[in-house]
Amino acid sequence: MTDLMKQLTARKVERRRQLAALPVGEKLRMLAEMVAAAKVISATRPPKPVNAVRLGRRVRAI
Amino acid sequence: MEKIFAVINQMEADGVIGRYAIGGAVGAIFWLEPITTKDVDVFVTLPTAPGGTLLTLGPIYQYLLAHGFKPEEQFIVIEGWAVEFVPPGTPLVEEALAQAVKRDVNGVLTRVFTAEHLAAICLQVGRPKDHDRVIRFVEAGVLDAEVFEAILQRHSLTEKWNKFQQAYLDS
Repeated sequence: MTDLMKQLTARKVERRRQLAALPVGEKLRMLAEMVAAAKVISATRPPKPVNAVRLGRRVRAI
Repeated sequence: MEKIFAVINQMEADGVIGRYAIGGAVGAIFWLEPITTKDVDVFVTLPTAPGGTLLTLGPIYQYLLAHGFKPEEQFIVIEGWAVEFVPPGTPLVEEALAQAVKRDVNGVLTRVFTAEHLAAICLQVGRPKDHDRVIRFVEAGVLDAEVFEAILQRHSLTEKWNKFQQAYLDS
């Protein structure tokens, strides 16, 4: 892992810690907002690829 | 979401359920950053009928339907959330339920699994999302090492934990 990636990871972990330290009522309110936002996103589904990657499918060497 | 906890507290007071505690993703949110989820897992001990040994979720559903809540697949919708009542299926979950702690959510008391039990359950279940959650518990620094290791030993999870650390935490 490069130094830049390590810094990014460390910042993400720190941000998670800050969010974890919020009062639980606030975190549950944020969850409700996330679920509502996710419903809006999932209402507009992108088209599926013709050859979708599936679990257990082997990738042929080129 | 505190309204859900108020409903469940009333169910406990009315004797429809025994001791309960919040687990799953919502339980984890008590200790971690918000994690997205679609349902609320409520682990419950079920009172048995006098002279009977059969455990059934029937009385829970009858009670909630009588109070105007609607079923949706295996869930009951309370305040817009899909709530699932789950009897403990393993000794680890039984212990988590027995040792769950009280927490205040905007003035409503509820019970939630400890961080150490939630992480141990994730380790035991072992799906990719559970592994991710264990990493988050470790990164958040909310697990008491002594308590966590004692749980792992009691439930024969030490070897699994060692492999998990090698795969995901040793860098």
